[in-house]
Amino acid sequence: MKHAQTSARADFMLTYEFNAPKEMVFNAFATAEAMNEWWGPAESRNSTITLDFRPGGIFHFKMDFGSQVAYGRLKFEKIEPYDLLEFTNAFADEQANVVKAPFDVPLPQEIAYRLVFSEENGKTRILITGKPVNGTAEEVDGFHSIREDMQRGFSSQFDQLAGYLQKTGGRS
Amino acid sequence: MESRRDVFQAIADPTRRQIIAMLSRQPLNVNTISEQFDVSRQAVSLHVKILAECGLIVIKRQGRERFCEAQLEKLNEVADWVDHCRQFWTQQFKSLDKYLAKVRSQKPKK
Repeated sequence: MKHAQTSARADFMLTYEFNAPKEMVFNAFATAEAMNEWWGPAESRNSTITLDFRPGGIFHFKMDFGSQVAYGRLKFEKIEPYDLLEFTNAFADEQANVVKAPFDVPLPQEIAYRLVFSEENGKTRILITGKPVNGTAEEVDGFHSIREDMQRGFSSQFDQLAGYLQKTGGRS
Repeated sequence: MESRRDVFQAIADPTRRQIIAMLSRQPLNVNTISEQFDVSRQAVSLHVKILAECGLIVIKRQGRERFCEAQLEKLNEVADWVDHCRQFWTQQFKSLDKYLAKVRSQKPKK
């Protein structure tokens, strides 16, 4: 059925099992030393520029493809050792500002990931889900103004209702 | 930030994802779509407008009604994104797995 396919595919989901306790797996995201060892595309030499492992903190890294250099950044949102990690991921410039992907693949500009860590018998499973980061400020404003219109609408409705009740109340 | 109108903006919102799912089965008019949601008709109209601007649906007038039709080939771009993500993370996790094996071999189990 087209329906199931479409809704299942709008979000990204993957599980992966590691032969290590979850504290160790979680901590592999927490330091520049660890991230330098494993993070980034296999085709590039990757190095940490800065890593601030706190909610709101940024991991800014360099990807050296030889002929081309690109930068990326994670912005940490939620950090709950050793169970949950939320961050957004995007390509970046040298100053860690978000930029479009430097190659021709239609990708969301920024993706929000949620990683849930669970441990059983010394093995850790990560369930990762991802979705494009929510709309632009302009769009959010659009919906905000609708809400305001509705509130105004409702309150004028209530004024009318109050007036009506007063009138009928007065009559009865 | 400049306003983006692409499939990713289209699917960034859960209501829009639902609208797309509904329309992938059959074309519907805006009123029928609105009836399925708790949000206001205006909000649904705005979602429909954004979906149209992103190229995921087309709106066809039939008399007084506006029918929305999904552009399924456009949805393939979404699938491409998910595939790309899967490749990226599978590779990242393989690399992480290797790193963890290395750390474990260096640090004998307590």
